[in-house]
Amino acid sequence: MITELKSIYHSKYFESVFTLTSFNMSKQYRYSFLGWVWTLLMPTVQIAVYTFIFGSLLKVPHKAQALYILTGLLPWTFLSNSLMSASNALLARGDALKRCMIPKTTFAASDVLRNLHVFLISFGTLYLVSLVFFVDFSFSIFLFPLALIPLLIATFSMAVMLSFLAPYFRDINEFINVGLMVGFYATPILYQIGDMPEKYHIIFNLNPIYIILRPIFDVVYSQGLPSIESYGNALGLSMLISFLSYIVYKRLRKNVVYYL
Amino acid sequence: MAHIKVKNLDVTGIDISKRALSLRSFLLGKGKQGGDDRIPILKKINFEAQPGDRIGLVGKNGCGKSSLLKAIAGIYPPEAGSLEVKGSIAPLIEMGLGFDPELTGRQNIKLGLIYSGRIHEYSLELEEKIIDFSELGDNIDLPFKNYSSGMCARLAFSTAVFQKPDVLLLDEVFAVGDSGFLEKSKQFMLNKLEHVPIAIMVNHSRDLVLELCNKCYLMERGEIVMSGSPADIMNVYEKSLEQR
Repeated sequence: MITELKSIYHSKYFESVFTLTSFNMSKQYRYSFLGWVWTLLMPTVQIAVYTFIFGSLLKVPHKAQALYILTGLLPWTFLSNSLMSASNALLARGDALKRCMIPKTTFAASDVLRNLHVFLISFGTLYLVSLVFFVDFSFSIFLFPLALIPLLIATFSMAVMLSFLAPYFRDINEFINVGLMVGFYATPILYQIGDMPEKYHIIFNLNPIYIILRPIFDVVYSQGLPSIESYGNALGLSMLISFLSYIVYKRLRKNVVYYL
Repeated sequence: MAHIKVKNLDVTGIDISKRALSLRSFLLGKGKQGGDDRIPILKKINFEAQPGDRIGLVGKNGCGKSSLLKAIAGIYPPEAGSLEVKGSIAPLIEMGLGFDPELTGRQNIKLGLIYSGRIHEYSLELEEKIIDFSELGDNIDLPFKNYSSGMCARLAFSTAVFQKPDVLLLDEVFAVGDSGFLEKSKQFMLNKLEHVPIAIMVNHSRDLVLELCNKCYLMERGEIVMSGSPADIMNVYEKSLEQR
Protein backbone atom coordinates (compact mmCIF):
# COMPACT_ATOMS: atom_id res chain seq x y z
CA MET A 1 0.00 0.00 0.00
CA ILE A 2 2.88 2.34 0.80
CA THR A 3 4.29 2.06 -2.71
CA GLU A 4 0.88 2.90 -4.18
CA LEU A 5 0.57 5.94 -1.97
CA LYS A 6 4.04 6.99 -3.05
CA SER A 7 3.17 6.69 -6.71
CA ILE A 8 0.00 8.70 -6.14
CA TYR A 9 2.06 11.33 -4.39
CA HIS A 10 4.26 11.61 -7.49
CA SER A 11 3.77 14.98 -9.16
CA LYS A 12 3.32 13.25 -12.52
CA TYR A 13 0.15 11.61 -11.24
CA PHE A 14 -1.37 14.86 -10.00
CA GLU A 15 -0.45 16.65 -13.19
CA SER A 16 -2.19 13.96 -15.24
CA VAL A 17 -5.28 14.09 -13.05
CA PHE A 18 -5.51 17.89 -13.10
CA THR A 19 -4.95 18.15 -16.83
CA LEU A 20 -7.53 15.48 -17.62
CA THR A 21 -9.99 17.18 -15.29
CA SER A 22 -9.55 20.60 -16.85
CA PHE A 23 -9.94 19.16 -20.37
CA ASN A 24 -13.10 17.31 -19.42
CA MET A 25 -14.54 20.44 -17.86
CA SER A 26 -13.68 22.58 -20.86
CA LYS A 27 -15.53 20.06 -23.01
CA GLN A 28 -18.60 19.71 -20.84
CA TYR A 29 -20.41 22.98 -21.53
CA ARG A 30 -18.54 24.09 -24.64
CA TYR A 31 -21.54 24.11 -26.94
CA SER A 32 -24.24 24.86 -24.40
CA PHE A 33 -25.92 28.25 -24.34
CA LEU A 34 -25.99 28.73 -20.59
CA GLY A 35 -22.71 26.91 -20.00
CA TRP A 36 -21.57 26.99 -16.39
CA VAL A 37 -24.86 28.43 -15.21
CA TRP A 38 -26.28 24.92 -15.44
CA THR A 39 -24.17 23.73 -12.52
CA LEU A 40 -25.96 26.31 -10.38
CA LEU A 41 -29.39 26.15 -11.96
CA MET A 42 -29.86 22.44 -11.53
CA PRO A 43 -29.31 22.30 -7.72
CA THR A 44 -31.25 25.53 -7.22
CA VAL A 45 -34.32 24.12 -8.92
CA GLN A 46 -33.91 20.80 -7.10
CA ILE A 47 -33.64 22.48 -3.72
CA ALA A 48 -36.65 24.69 -4.45
CA VAL A 49 -38.81 21.75 -5.54
CA TYR A 50 -37.80 19.41 -2.72
CA THR A 51 -38.14 22.17 -0.14
CA PHE A 52 -41.64 22.94 -1.29
CA ILE A 53 -42.79 19.32 -1.49
CA PHE A 54 -41.11 17.91 1.60
CA GLY A 55 -41.49 21.08 3.61
CA SER A 56 -45.22 21.10 2.94
CA LEU A 57 -45.68 17.38 3.44
CA LEU A 58 -43.76 17.31 6.69
CA LYS A 59 -45.05 20.71 7.77
CA VAL A 60 -41.64 22.10 8.63
CA PRO A 61 -40.64 25.75 8.19
CA HIS A 62 -39.44 26.21 4.62
CA LYS A 63 -36.34 28.19 5.56
CA ALA A 64 -34.95 25.46 7.77
CA GLN A 65 -35.97 22.82 5.27
CA ALA A 66 -34.17 24.64 2.44
CA LEU A 67 -30.93 24.85 4.45
CA TYR A 68 -31.21 21.19 5.40
CA ILE A 69 -31.69 20.09 1.80
CA LEU A 70 -28.90 22.36 0.59
CA THR A 71 -26.60 20.78 3.18
CA GLY A 72 -27.44 17.21 2.22
CA LEU A 73 -28.35 17.29 -1.44
CA LEU A 74 -25.18 18.79 -2.89
CA PRO A 75 -22.76 16.36 -1.18
CA TRP A 76 -25.10 13.57 -2.21
CA THR A 77 -25.04 14.76 -5.83
CA PHE A 78 -21.25 14.89 -5.67
CA LEU A 79 -21.11 11.32 -4.36
CA SER A 80 -23.59 9.87 -6.83
CA ASN A 81 -22.25 11.68 -9.91
CA SER A 82 -18.71 10.69 -9.02
CA LEU A 83 -19.65 7.04 -8.66
CA MET A 84 -21.66 6.98 -11.88
CA SER A 85 -18.94 8.55 -14.00
CA ALA A 86 -16.12 6.61 -12.34
CA SER A 87 -17.83 3.29 -12.99
CA ASN A 88 -17.32 4.01 -16.68
CA ALA A 89 -13.84 5.46 -16.29
CA LEU A 90 -11.92 2.42 -17.52
CA LEU A 91 -14.55 0.88 -19.79
CA ALA A 92 -14.94 4.08 -21.80
CA ARG A 93 -11.21 4.18 -22.48
CA GLY A 94 -10.77 0.47 -23.02
CA ASP A 95 -9.11 0.61 -26.41
CA ALA A 96 -6.49 3.11 -25.37
CA LEU A 97 -5.77 1.37 -22.04
CA LYS A 98 -4.97 -1.85 -23.88
CA ARG A 99 -2.13 -0.09 -25.63
CA CYS A 100 -0.48 2.09 -23.04
CA MET A 101 0.89 2.15 -19.54
CA ILE A 102 -0.73 4.78 -17.37
CA PRO A 103 -1.81 4.44 -13.73
CA LYS A 104 -5.40 3.34 -14.18
CA THR A 105 -6.67 5.11 -11.09
CA THR A 106 -5.94 8.41 -12.85
CA PHE A 107 -9.31 8.39 -14.59
CA ALA A 108 -11.50 7.71 -11.57
CA ALA A 109 -9.53 10.35 -9.66
CA SER A 110 -10.10 12.87 -12.41
CA ASP A 111 -13.84 12.12 -12.46
CA VAL A 112 -14.05 12.66 -8.72
CA LEU A 113 -12.07 15.87 -8.97
CA ARG A 114 -14.32 17.25 -11.71
CA ASN A 115 -17.42 16.54 -9.62
CA LEU A 116 -15.75 18.00 -6.53
CA HIS A 117 -15.08 21.19 -8.43
CA VAL A 118 -18.73 21.47 -9.48
CA PHE A 119 -19.85 20.63 -5.94
CA LEU A 120 -17.68 23.27 -4.28
CA ILE A 121 -18.68 25.99 -6.72
CA SER A 122 -22.40 25.27 -6.48
CA PHE A 123 -22.30 24.79 -2.73
CA GLY A 124 -20.32 27.98 -2.18
CA THR A 125 -22.57 30.06 -4.36
CA LEU A 126 -25.83 28.68 -3.02
CA TYR A 127 -24.63 29.04 0.56
CA LEU A 128 -23.76 32.68 -0.04
CA VAL A 129 -27.16 33.26 -1.62
CA SER A 130 -28.91 31.61 1.32
CA LEU A 131 -26.91 33.80 3.73
CA VAL A 132 -28.47 36.81 2.08
CA PHE A 133 -32.02 35.45 2.22
CA PHE A 134 -32.61 33.09 5.09
CA VAL A 135 -29.57 31.83 6.92
CA ASP A 136 -27.71 33.46 9.80
CA PHE A 137 -23.98 33.45 9.40
CA SER A 138 -22.05 31.17 11.72
CA PHE A 139 -18.31 30.71 12.07
CA SER A 140 -18.85 26.97 12.07
CA ILE A 141 -18.90 27.11 8.25
CA PHE A 142 -15.10 27.44 8.36
CA LEU A 143 -15.01 23.84 9.59
CA PHE A 144 -16.68 22.76 6.34
CA PRO A 145 -13.40 21.57 4.71
CA LEU A 146 -12.70 19.42 7.75
CA ALA A 147 -16.23 17.99 7.71
CA LEU A 148 -15.77 17.11 4.05
CA ILE A 149 -12.73 14.87 4.54
CA PRO A 150 -14.60 11.61 5.31
CA LEU A 151 -16.83 12.13 2.26
CA LEU A 152 -13.80 12.76 0.03
CA ILE A 153 -11.97 9.67 1.23
CA ALA A 154 -15.05 7.47 0.83
CA THR A 155 -15.97 8.85 -2.59
CA PHE A 156 -12.49 8.54 -4.06
CA SER A 157 -12.06 4.99 -2.73
CA MET A 158 -15.42 3.80 -3.98
CA ALA A 159 -14.87 5.49 -7.35
CA VAL A 160 -11.58 3.66 -7.85
CA MET A 161 -13.11 0.37 -6.74
CA LEU A 162 -16.08 0.73 -9.07
CA SER A 163 -13.92 1.70 -12.04
CA PHE A 164 -12.07 -1.61 -11.62
CA LEU A 165 -15.16 -3.68 -10.83
CA ALA A 166 -17.16 -2.49 -13.83
CA PRO A 167 -15.02 -4.22 -16.50
CA TYR A 168 -15.36 -7.52 -14.61
CA PHE A 169 -19.05 -7.21 -13.86
CA ARG A 170 -20.78 -5.24 -16.54
CA ASP A 171 -24.03 -5.21 -14.57
CA ILE A 172 -22.44 -2.98 -11.99
CA ASN A 173 -23.71 0.18 -13.69
CA GLU A 174 -27.29 -0.99 -13.24
CA PHE A 175 -26.58 -1.95 -9.65
CA ILE A 176 -25.21 1.52 -9.00
CA ASN A 177 -28.25 3.17 -10.55
CA VAL A 178 -30.64 1.14 -8.43
CA GLY A 179 -28.48 1.51 -5.33
CA LEU A 180 -28.23 5.27 -5.71
CA MET A 181 -31.96 5.56 -6.27
CA VAL A 182 -32.68 3.62 -3.08
CA GLY A 183 -29.95 5.51 -1.23
CA PHE A 184 -31.37 8.85 -2.28
CA TYR A 185 -34.66 8.20 -0.50
CA ALA A 186 -33.31 5.99 2.29
CA THR A 187 -30.81 8.61 3.45
CA PRO A 188 -32.18 11.52 5.45
CA ILE A 189 -31.21 14.27 3.03
CA LEU A 190 -34.67 15.43 1.97
CA TYR A 191 -36.20 14.90 5.41
CA GLN A 192 -34.71 14.74 8.87
CA ILE A 193 -34.49 11.68 11.04
CA GLY A 194 -36.73 13.39 13.56
CA ASP A 195 -39.54 13.49 10.98
CA MET A 196 -39.63 9.70 10.93
CA PRO A 197 -41.25 7.35 13.48
CA GLU A 198 -38.93 6.70 16.39
CA LYS A 199 -38.65 2.94 15.84
CA TYR A 200 -36.90 3.50 12.50
CA HIS A 201 -34.25 5.87 13.85
CA ILE A 202 -31.78 3.06 14.45
CA ILE A 203 -31.92 2.11 10.76
CA PHE A 204 -31.29 5.67 9.62
CA ASN A 205 -28.46 6.06 12.07
CA LEU A 206 -26.78 2.95 10.67
CA ASN A 207 -27.04 4.17 7.08
CA PRO A 208 -23.40 4.45 5.99
CA ILE A 209 -24.03 7.42 3.70
CA TYR A 210 -25.69 9.27 6.54
CA ILE A 211 -22.78 8.47 8.86
CA ILE A 212 -20.38 9.92 6.29
CA LEU A 213 -22.51 13.05 5.75
CA ARG A 214 -23.19 13.63 9.42
CA PRO A 215 -20.26 16.02 10.13
CA ILE A 216 -21.39 18.19 7.21
CA PHE A 217 -24.87 18.47 8.73
CA ASP A 218 -23.32 19.28 12.11
CA VAL A 219 -21.29 22.12 10.67
CA VAL A 220 -23.59 23.62 8.05
CA TYR A 221 -27.12 22.87 9.23
CA SER A 222 -26.74 22.69 13.01
CA GLN A 223 -24.05 25.39 12.85
CA GLY A 224 -21.95 23.84 15.54
CA LEU A 225 -18.88 21.73 16.04
CA PRO A 226 -19.15 18.16 14.78
CA SER A 227 -19.33 15.89 17.79
CA ILE A 228 -16.28 13.73 18.31
CA GLU A 229 -18.53 10.71 18.02
CA SER A 230 -20.05 11.62 14.67
CA TYR A 231 -16.74 12.76 13.21
CA GLY A 232 -14.94 9.70 14.52
CA ASN A 233 -17.61 7.41 13.08
CA ALA A 234 -17.47 9.16 9.72
CA LEU A 235 -13.71 9.09 9.52
CA GLY A 236 -13.50 5.49 10.71
CA LEU A 237 -16.11 4.35 8.21
CA SER A 238 -14.40 6.17 5.36
CA MET A 239 -11.11 4.49 6.29
CA LEU A 240 -12.83 1.12 6.33
CA ILE A 241 -14.35 1.79 2.90
CA SER A 242 -11.00 2.82 1.51
CA PHE A 243 -9.35 -0.29 2.94
CA LEU A 244 -12.00 -2.56 1.38
CA SER A 245 -11.69 -0.68 -1.91
CA TYR A 246 -7.96 -1.13 -1.82
CA ILE A 247 -8.33 -4.90 -1.41
CA VAL A 248 -10.70 -5.07 -4.38
CA TYR A 249 -8.41 -2.85 -6.47
CA LYS A 250 -5.37 -4.94 -5.63
CA ARG A 251 -7.12 -8.14 -6.64
CA LEU A 252 -8.54 -6.84 -9.88
CA ARG A 253 -5.91 -4.54 -11.30
CA LYS A 254 -3.58 -7.21 -12.69
CA ASN A 255 -5.93 -8.73 -15.23
CA VAL A 256 -8.25 -5.79 -15.79
CA VAL A 257 -6.66 -5.12 -19.18
CA TYR A 258 -8.17 -8.38 -20.52
CA TYR A 259 -11.68 -7.33 -19.50
CA LEU A 260 -11.69 -3.96 -21.22
CA MET B 1 22.83 0.23 -18.38
CA ALA B 2 19.66 -0.73 -20.15
CA HIS B 3 18.82 -4.34 -20.61
CA ILE B 4 15.90 -6.71 -21.02
CA LYS B 5 15.81 -10.26 -19.76
CA VAL B 6 12.83 -12.47 -20.46
CA LYS B 7 12.77 -15.98 -19.02
CA ASN B 8 10.09 -18.61 -19.68
CA LEU B 9 7.48 -15.90 -19.95
CA ASP B 10 3.87 -16.99 -20.24
CA VAL B 11 1.10 -14.50 -20.88
CA THR B 12 -2.49 -15.70 -20.70
CA GLY B 13 -5.50 -13.68 -21.71
CA ILE B 14 -9.11 -14.19 -20.79
CA ASP B 15 -11.99 -14.71 -23.18
CA ILE B 16 -14.66 -12.65 -21.48
CA SER B 17 -17.45 -13.85 -23.76
CA LYS B 18 -16.98 -17.34 -22.34
CA ARG B 19 -16.65 -16.01 -18.83
CA ALA B 20 -20.04 -14.31 -19.07
CA LEU B 21 -21.49 -17.54 -20.40
CA SER B 22 -20.04 -19.63 -17.63
CA LEU B 23 -21.28 -17.19 -15.02
CA ARG B 24 -24.74 -17.57 -16.45
CA SER B 25 -24.52 -21.34 -16.49
CA PHE B 26 -23.09 -21.26 -12.99
CA LEU B 27 -26.08 -19.27 -11.78
CA LEU B 28 -28.52 -21.52 -13.62
CA GLY B 29 -26.71 -24.58 -12.30
CA LYS B 30 -26.10 -26.15 -15.67
CA GLY B 31 -22.47 -26.92 -15.10
CA LYS B 32 -19.63 -25.47 -17.08
CA GLN B 33 -20.84 -24.70 -20.56
CA GLY B 34 -18.53 -21.85 -21.30
CA GLY B 35 -15.49 -24.09 -21.41
CA ASP B 36 -12.00 -22.83 -20.95
CA ASP B 37 -11.96 -19.06 -20.91
CA ARG B 38 -8.19 -18.72 -20.87
CA ILE B 39 -6.37 -17.89 -24.07
CA PRO B 40 -2.64 -18.50 -24.17
CA ILE B 41 -1.13 -15.38 -25.73
CA LEU B 42 2.58 -15.99 -25.20
CA LYS B 43 4.23 -19.29 -24.33
CA LYS B 44 7.70 -19.88 -22.85
CA ILE B 45 9.33 -16.79 -24.28
CA ASN B 46 13.07 -16.50 -23.69
CA PHE B 47 15.25 -13.71 -24.90
CA GLU B 48 17.68 -11.05 -23.86
CA ALA B 49 18.57 -7.65 -25.17
CA GLN B 50 21.68 -5.58 -24.47
CA PRO B 51 22.54 -2.04 -25.53
CA GLY B 52 23.23 -2.00 -29.25
CA ASP B 53 20.61 -4.63 -29.99
CA ARG B 54 18.12 -3.95 -32.77
CA ILE B 55 15.69 -6.82 -32.55
CA GLY B 56 13.16 -7.59 -35.24
CA LEU B 57 10.09 -9.71 -34.47
CA VAL B 58 8.80 -11.53 -37.53
CA GLY B 59 5.76 -13.72 -38.01
CA LYS B 60 2.24 -14.00 -39.35
CA ASN B 61 -0.66 -11.92 -38.03
CA GLY B 62 -1.78 -13.11 -34.63
CA CYS B 63 1.45 -14.91 -33.78
CA GLY B 64 2.08 -12.75 -30.70
CA LYS B 65 4.54 -10.11 -31.91
CA SER B 66 2.54 -7.14 -30.67
CA SER B 67 1.59 -9.02 -27.51
CA LEU B 68 5.26 -9.55 -26.75
CA LEU B 69 5.86 -5.81 -27.09
CA LYS B 70 2.91 -5.17 -24.78
CA ALA B 71 4.27 -7.64 -22.24
CA ILE B 72 7.64 -5.90 -22.28
CA ALA B 73 5.94 -2.53 -21.91
CA GLY B 74 4.12 -3.87 -18.84
CA ILE B 75 0.63 -3.68 -20.33
CA TYR B 76 0.08 -7.45 -20.27
CA PRO B 77 0.87 -9.02 -16.88
CA PRO B 78 3.10 -12.11 -16.88
CA GLU B 79 1.31 -15.32 -15.88
CA ALA B 80 4.50 -17.26 -15.28
CA GLY B 81 8.19 -16.78 -15.82
CA SER B 82 10.10 -13.57 -15.32
CA LEU B 83 10.51 -10.31 -17.11
CA GLU B 84 13.24 -7.89 -16.19
CA VAL B 85 13.49 -4.51 -17.84
CA LYS B 86 16.10 -1.95 -16.85
CA GLY B 87 15.78 1.53 -18.28
CA SER B 88 12.95 3.67 -19.54
CA ILE B 89 10.66 2.29 -22.21
CA ALA B 90 8.91 4.13 -25.00
CA PRO B 91 6.23 1.87 -26.44
CA LEU B 92 5.22 3.26 -29.82
CA ILE B 93 2.58 0.60 -30.20
CA GLU B 94 -0.06 2.90 -31.52
CA MET B 95 0.17 6.59 -32.13
CA GLY B 96 -2.39 9.16 -31.16
CA LEU B 97 -3.43 7.14 -28.14
CA GLY B 98 -6.05 8.84 -26.01
CA PHE B 99 -6.55 11.69 -28.48
CA ASP B 100 -9.94 13.28 -28.04
CA PRO B 101 -11.74 14.56 -31.17
CA GLU B 102 -13.52 17.29 -29.20
CA LEU B 103 -10.30 18.92 -28.01
CA THR B 104 -7.91 21.07 -30.00
CA GLY B 105 -4.67 19.76 -31.46
CA ARG B 106 -2.74 21.65 -28.80
CA GLN B 107 -4.74 20.07 -25.98
CA ASN B 108 -4.32 16.68 -27.58
CA ILE B 109 -0.55 17.03 -27.41
CA LYS B 110 -0.90 17.19 -23.63
CA LEU B 111 -3.37 14.33 -23.65
CA GLY B 112 -0.96 12.22 -25.69
CA LEU B 113 1.75 12.96 -23.14
CA ILE B 114 -0.54 11.89 -20.29
CA TYR B 115 -1.37 8.60 -21.97
CA SER B 116 2.28 7.84 -22.58
CA GLY B 117 3.16 8.75 -18.99
CA ARG B 118 5.29 11.72 -20.00
CA ILE B 119 3.25 14.65 -18.75
CA HIS B 120 6.14 15.72 -16.52
CA GLU B 121 8.22 16.32 -19.64
CA TYR B 122 5.71 18.86 -20.90
CA SER B 123 6.98 22.38 -21.52
CA LEU B 124 6.05 25.15 -23.93
CA GLU B 125 9.32 24.43 -25.65
CA LEU B 126 8.43 20.79 -26.24
CA GLU B 127 4.98 21.82 -27.40
CA GLU B 128 6.52 24.20 -29.95
CA LYS B 129 8.90 21.48 -31.13
CA ILE B 130 6.00 19.12 -31.66
CA ILE B 131 3.89 21.69 -33.49
CA ASP B 132 6.85 22.67 -35.67
CA PHE B 133 7.60 19.10 -36.60
CA SER B 134 3.95 18.32 -37.37
CA GLU B 135 3.80 21.36 -39.73
CA LEU B 136 0.27 22.06 -38.55
CA GLY B 137 0.83 25.77 -37.98
CA ASP B 138 -2.29 27.67 -36.90
CA ASN B 139 -4.43 24.57 -37.35
CA ILE B 140 -3.08 23.36 -34.02
CA ASP B 141 -5.83 25.31 -32.25
CA LEU B 142 -8.65 23.76 -34.27
CA PRO B 143 -10.66 20.87 -32.81
CA PHE B 144 -9.00 17.57 -33.61
CA LYS B 145 -12.19 16.25 -35.22
CA ASN B 146 -11.76 18.77 -38.05
CA TYR B 147 -8.36 17.38 -38.99
CA SER B 148 -7.81 15.29 -42.09
CA SER B 149 -6.47 11.80 -41.46
CA GLY B 150 -3.04 12.93 -42.67
CA MET B 151 -3.03 15.80 -40.19
CA CYS B 152 -4.09 13.46 -37.39
CA ALA B 153 -1.25 11.10 -38.22
CA ARG B 154 1.28 13.94 -38.36
CA LEU B 155 0.27 15.27 -34.95
CA ALA B 156 0.22 11.79 -33.44
CA PHE B 157 3.66 10.98 -34.82
CA SER B 158 5.15 14.27 -33.66
CA THR B 159 3.71 13.90 -30.16
CA ALA B 160 5.00 10.37 -29.83
CA VAL B 161 8.55 10.68 -31.08
CA PHE B 162 10.10 13.48 -29.05
CA GLN B 163 11.44 11.33 -26.25
CA LYS B 164 14.74 9.78 -25.32
CA PRO B 165 14.06 6.31 -23.94
CA ASP B 166 16.51 3.49 -23.22
CA VAL B 167 14.26 0.99 -24.94
CA LEU B 168 12.19 1.76 -28.01
CA LEU B 169 9.33 -0.58 -28.89
CA LEU B 170 7.99 -0.07 -32.40
CA ASP B 171 4.89 -1.78 -33.70
CA GLU B 172 4.68 -1.19 -37.45
CA VAL B 173 4.74 2.51 -36.75
CA PHE B 174 7.38 4.02 -38.84
CA ALA B 175 6.48 6.89 -41.06
CA VAL B 176 3.25 8.69 -41.76
CA GLY B 177 1.68 11.41 -43.86
CA ASP B 178 2.02 12.55 -47.47
CA SER B 179 5.22 11.96 -49.40
CA GLY B 180 7.07 14.99 -48.01
CA PHE B 181 6.25 14.20 -44.42
CA LEU B 182 6.73 10.49 -45.03
CA GLU B 183 10.39 11.01 -45.91
CA LYS B 184 10.92 13.42 -43.02
CA SER B 185 9.33 11.12 -40.45
CA LYS B 186 11.26 8.14 -41.79
CA GLN B 187 14.56 10.00 -41.49
CA PHE B 188 13.62 11.08 -37.97
CA MET B 189 12.82 7.53 -36.96
CA LEU B 190 16.01 6.14 -38.50
CA ASN B 191 18.00 8.73 -36.61
CA LYS B 192 16.16 7.82 -33.42
CA LEU B 193 16.89 4.16 -33.96
CA GLU B 194 20.55 4.87 -34.38
CA HIS B 195 20.83 6.55 -31.00
CA VAL B 196 18.52 4.52 -28.78
CA PRO B 197 20.33 1.85 -26.71
CA ILE B 198 17.82 -0.95 -27.41
CA ALA B 199 15.14 -1.18 -30.07
CA ILE B 200 12.60 -3.93 -30.61
CA MET B 201 10.43 -3.68 -33.66
CA VAL B 202 7.63 -5.47 -35.39
CA ASN B 203 7.70 -4.91 -39.09
CA HIS B 204 6.50 -6.62 -42.22
CA SER B 205 8.84 -4.81 -44.57
CA ARG B 206 11.75 -7.07 -45.51
CA ASP B 207 13.95 -4.15 -46.48
CA LEU B 208 13.50 -2.34 -43.18
CA VAL B 209 14.17 -5.45 -41.12
CA LEU B 210 17.33 -6.25 -43.10
CA GLU B 211 18.51 -2.68 -42.96
CA LEU B 212 17.88 -1.96 -39.30
CA CYS B 213 18.02 -5.15 -37.27
CA ASN B 214 21.01 -7.13 -36.10
CA LYS B 215 18.96 -9.94 -34.54
CA CYS B 216 15.67 -11.49 -35.47
CA TYR B 217 13.10 -13.78 -33.88
CA LEU B 218 10.50 -15.75 -35.77
CA MET B 219 7.26 -16.19 -33.87
CA GLU B 220 4.48 -18.71 -34.33
CA ARG B 221 1.37 -19.23 -32.16
CA GLY B 222 2.75 -17.25 -29.26
CA GLU B 223 6.17 -18.87 -29.25
CA ILE B 224 9.60 -17.93 -30.48
CA VAL B 225 10.39 -20.76 -32.87
CA MET B 226 13.67 -19.55 -34.28
CA SER B 227 16.28 -16.89 -33.74
CA GLY B 228 19.14 -15.79 -35.93
CA SER B 229 20.40 -13.19 -38.32
CA PRO B 230 17.77 -11.04 -40.05
CA ALA B 231 18.62 -12.51 -43.45
CA ASP B 232 18.21 -16.14 -42.31
CA ILE B 233 14.98 -15.48 -40.45
CA MET B 234 13.46 -13.50 -43.30
CA ASN B 235 14.27 -16.36 -45.71
CA VAL B 236 12.61 -18.96 -43.49
CA TYR B 237 9.62 -16.70 -42.88
CA GLU B 238 9.09 -15.94 -46.54
CA LYS B 239 9.36 -19.61 -47.46
CA SER B 240 6.69 -20.45 -44.90
CA LEU B 241 4.48 -17.81 -46.46
CA GLU B 242 4.90 -19.31 -49.91
CA GLN B 243 3.88 -22.73 -48.70
CA ARG B 244 0.58 -21.41 -47.51
